[in-house]
Amino acid sequence: MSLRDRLDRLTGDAKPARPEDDKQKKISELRARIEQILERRPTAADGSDKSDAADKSERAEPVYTPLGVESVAKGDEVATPYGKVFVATDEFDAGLFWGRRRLREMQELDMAAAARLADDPRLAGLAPADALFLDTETTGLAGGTGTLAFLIGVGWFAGDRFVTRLIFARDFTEEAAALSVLRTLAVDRKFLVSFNGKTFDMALLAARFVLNRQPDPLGGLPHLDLLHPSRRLLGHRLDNSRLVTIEEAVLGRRRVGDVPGSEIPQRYFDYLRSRDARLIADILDHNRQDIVSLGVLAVHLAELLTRGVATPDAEPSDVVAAARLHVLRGDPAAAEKMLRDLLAARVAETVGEGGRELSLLHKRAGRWDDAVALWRAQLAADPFDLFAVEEMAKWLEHRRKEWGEAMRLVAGVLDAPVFADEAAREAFRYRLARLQRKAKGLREEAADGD
Amino acid sequence: MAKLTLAEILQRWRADRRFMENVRAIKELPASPGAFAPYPAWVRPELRRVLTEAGMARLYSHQAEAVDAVHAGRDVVLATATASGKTLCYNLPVLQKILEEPEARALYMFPTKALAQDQMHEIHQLIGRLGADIKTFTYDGDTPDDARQAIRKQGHVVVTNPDMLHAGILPHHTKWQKLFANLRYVVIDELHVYRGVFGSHLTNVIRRLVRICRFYNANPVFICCSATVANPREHAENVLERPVQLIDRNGAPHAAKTFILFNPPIVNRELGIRQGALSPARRMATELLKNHVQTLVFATSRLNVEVLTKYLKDEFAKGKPVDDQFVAGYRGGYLPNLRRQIERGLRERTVMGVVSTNALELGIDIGDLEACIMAGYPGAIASAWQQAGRAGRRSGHSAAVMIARSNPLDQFIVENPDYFFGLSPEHCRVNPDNLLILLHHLKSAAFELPFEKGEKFGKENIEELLDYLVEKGVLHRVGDRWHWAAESYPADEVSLRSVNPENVVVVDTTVAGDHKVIAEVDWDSAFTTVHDDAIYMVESRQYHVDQLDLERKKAYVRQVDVDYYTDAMTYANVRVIEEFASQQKPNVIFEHGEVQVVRKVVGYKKIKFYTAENVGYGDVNLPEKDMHTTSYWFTIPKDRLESLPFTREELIDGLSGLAYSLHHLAAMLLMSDVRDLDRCIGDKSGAWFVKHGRDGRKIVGGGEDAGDGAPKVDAFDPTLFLYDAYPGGIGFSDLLFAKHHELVARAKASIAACPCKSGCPSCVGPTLEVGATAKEAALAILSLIDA
Repeated sequence: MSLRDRLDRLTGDAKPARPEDDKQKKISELRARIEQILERRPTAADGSDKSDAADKSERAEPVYTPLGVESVAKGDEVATPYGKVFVATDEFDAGLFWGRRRLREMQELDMAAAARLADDPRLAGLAPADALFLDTETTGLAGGTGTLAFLIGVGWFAGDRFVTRLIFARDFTEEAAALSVLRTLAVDRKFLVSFNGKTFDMALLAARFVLNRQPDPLGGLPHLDLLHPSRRLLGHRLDNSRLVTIEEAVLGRRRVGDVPGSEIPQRYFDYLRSRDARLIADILDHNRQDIVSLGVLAVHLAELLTRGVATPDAEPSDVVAAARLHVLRGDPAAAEKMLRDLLAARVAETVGEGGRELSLLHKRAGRWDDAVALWRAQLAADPFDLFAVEEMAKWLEHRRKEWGEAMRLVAGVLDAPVFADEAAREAFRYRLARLQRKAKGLREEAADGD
Repeated sequence: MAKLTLAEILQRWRADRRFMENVRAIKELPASPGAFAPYPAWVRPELRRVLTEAGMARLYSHQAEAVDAVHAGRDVVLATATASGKTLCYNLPVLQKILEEPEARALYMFPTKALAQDQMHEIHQLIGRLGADIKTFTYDGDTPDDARQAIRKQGHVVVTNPDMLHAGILPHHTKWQKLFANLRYVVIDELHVYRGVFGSHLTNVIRRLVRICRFYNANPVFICCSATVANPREHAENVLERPVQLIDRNGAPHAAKTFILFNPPIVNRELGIRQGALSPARRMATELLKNHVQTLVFATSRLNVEVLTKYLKDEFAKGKPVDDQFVAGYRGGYLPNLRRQIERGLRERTVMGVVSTNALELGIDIGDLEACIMAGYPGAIASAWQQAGRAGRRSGHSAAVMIARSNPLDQFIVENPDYFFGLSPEHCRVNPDNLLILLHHLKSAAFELPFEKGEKFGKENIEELLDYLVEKGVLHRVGDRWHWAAESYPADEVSLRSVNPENVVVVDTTVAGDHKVIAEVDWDSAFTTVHDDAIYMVESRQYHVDQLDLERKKAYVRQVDVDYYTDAMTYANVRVIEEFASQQKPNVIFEHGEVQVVRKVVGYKKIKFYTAENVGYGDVNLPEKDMHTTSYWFTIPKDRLESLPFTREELIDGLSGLAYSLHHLAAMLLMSDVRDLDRCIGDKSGAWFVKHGRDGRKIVGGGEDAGDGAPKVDAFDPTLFLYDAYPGGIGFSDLLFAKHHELVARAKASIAACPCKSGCPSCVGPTLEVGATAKEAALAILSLIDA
């Protein structure tokens, strides 16, 4: 009995009728998958898609000719000391719009803000033109030594254009060359920008460099990973922290027919077996878009930190989040300015959260008049604002010793249906009771002293 | 009452006539003065100073031999008894090397975390006294994430276990570049534990480790430590796949030990039933503990551990209030915290008595126990000496008592003390090229580094296997290389210790809203220990299993206080898939080959504490478990069988009795553990088989259940299977095929010589289970096939 048969039996796999049948079956399955994918793609704006035409004209029995990657992407085979690899090249004019922003805004990225986003002061001394934007596509999320970064996409600003290079390994044998190209392109770059790169892409590339016995030029560079700042500044109003989601929400750019990330590994494996680059054409597309989005997103987030409410497409809650980030990085003054501007800009909506945040900053800094002014304004807008009631009561009780006033304030809300649960209401009752005790004590004192 | 010393208690026992009636041997193993040697010249002075200060002014002879060999770059295996200072044999060269070259690295591997922690403590002491900047860390599943990076970069000695190496380190070897590029020593402790399936997995993990070392141009020296087994060098060479030097002359001094072999009395002569081993174990342990002799009792099953622990705790709970921890139970399923607590209690002597499974056989430091009682022969000679060796590690007099149970193997051992004391311990066998195991590791290896044409991995032609994996879609071949081409992580697909990597978690739901995990059970055992309505015991507390949720791998239990425990009943059904070899005799055909085994838990018995009465049965509804393995079997044509003067029913009983006997004798012949094999009587097509259930023996199958009417003997040629108890087989069946005649001859001799009338647990099995004529019928069948 053959090795194969024994293995199939031991692993519980069904035995195929004949080995040739099995191979044929696999090819048909592969072809069916490819057709399915091609049918999903939107028709190109500039006219007929080659493959569609072929399908339409040859309904009877389609002759299967795989397309090489040079037929689906603009680029060249690049020679390196480690062999050849395919690199897709693209250039974007700086004046082009990407969503609601123009690409040239990347050239004006505020590096001090970038340093703050990344929590890495080294960035402050660098220039936007020094950036290398990077995003990889891999054969899996497992990491470890068995995952290949088959597509390494990089971008940077060159003069008046934004340039992308998608380094694509057409098979495992091209990985060494791919890494070599990456090293060449990274030569005069001084910092990296990525999305989740710190945890994922860098670790993976580091492993690949070791496995290919090449030095890793990226490890020591300052790294602005936009995932974490995105979560901090925008996470409160987004369903998830995927780049595509953020792109749509704050950059106003929607993608159509974008390949789902979960499908990417299997597409590449199918490409390896079939050599048909139509399977991976939209992966290249997806990656290219991700790289440009990285740049534009960096601009948006930096702007939130520097211009706050004046940032286009910023919501008040984003500004409050930016203020919190300033506080986290040890700059309460910047946070205050941001919140003041916020309050000044949109009165009605922002006495809420922004006002709260600012009032606390005032309180912590000892600026009681400013804090109280805000609380009064909040109470004027909503007498049942529990936050304002509590803060005012505390101030009245401990700083002014005006227990009567405090009691009236607290008593006024006790019966209102504004408490989330009994425990919260209980806390207010307790405060009132304490105030009553204090007030009584004072009256008795007064009586004694009478 | 004044407390007696151990010596006094032993004297008392010798003077007790009734006790001595059941003693089959008392062997006085003398103390030994030891053989010493000076430190080799190359040992650095600070090391020598620190070790001398710790009490080792000289080395034992075997230690000197070992460290010299290792220093010269030779791979070694140390096979000396427990407590012979094996640890120093690796700590010394490792520390020496790191002191000479601060970039040098070492990897230590222990089979359990507990052992790893223990050894860590020891090397830490040494390093502390040296005052050197040498960092050692454990790296296992419990290591917190933020510590992991530091360990990878800075750890001079990384202490781990095979599972972590397999799933956590090797697949991420690029992160461990520093370790691998500078790896000088790999230490594998308790090498004898790596036998059977576990050993086959480990051999493959070592293959992957060596492969990765080669990638980083490292060529570490392997230092292995093994208990005394029959073939330590062969075993080490099989696992490491390279020549290994053996060091087995023990130079360590050891204390005197009294070793008693005890056979409980026959309580029912008619049926040939002996008193169980738990009763005498209980009595002896009680007497020892009353006199504050620290005692360790080994029981042969988890169930027996729990039952005996309960008996002893009950005993000491009467009268004066004694700490609940005076007597403790111990087994692998207990959570780690509890086990650490008990181990500490033993060292500090707040725990004076422990009842344990063989989990405490390994070298965890539990202090200076004086007495060890084995309630039942542990199934392997090496285990028996390991267990006995737990008493009297350091000094003074110690005692070991082995109490036989009723099965043929125990009886043989206890009635033939010269055989036991003279017998060399078991062989360790591994089968790393078992296809299933090899395939898993091939996938993991490909994940770690692509395979190149011409590369060797074990003894098989792997190119065919690699191409198979390409067809299955997990590898991609380009040019002369095979690359991993799947999203998954192969190391997660296999556990090194059992077929199924899943554990079932036992959740105590007694307190509503406060559910706690109280233990873990491996998948295979879960079916028999935590099925619905089972009574599960932890530290002799009883829990009733309300529900076993197989899908979520949880068993929900509630604390109860009942007077019985449960014992599951299972059956197995075997079908031949392929015969590898066959031999025909006049009345029998014996063969070996590949089979499919279906196992099912069908119900359970309720057994009362103390009286061991059977007080009821329960049904269990669990899915079948399916396994492919290898087997040895023989078939007797039905007409030959019918020529014997017995009824069909009696013939079936005879076959069952014969199977019972052969199973135990095969284990002895193979010098393997009796649990490595299992038996079944049936038909080669698996259409029918004999089932031992609540109503006794039944023949099941042939399309309908024939239990009520006449057994369908004429529908089949009865076959007796002895199969490897592991999927894929472990290599026993072809050995048994080769020894068929010897096996049959021994069975004939042993059954014929048994003093019982018509059958007993020592030869063909208890007559209540095998019937009153089993012995006679078995002998007749043996004569038939031996003709």
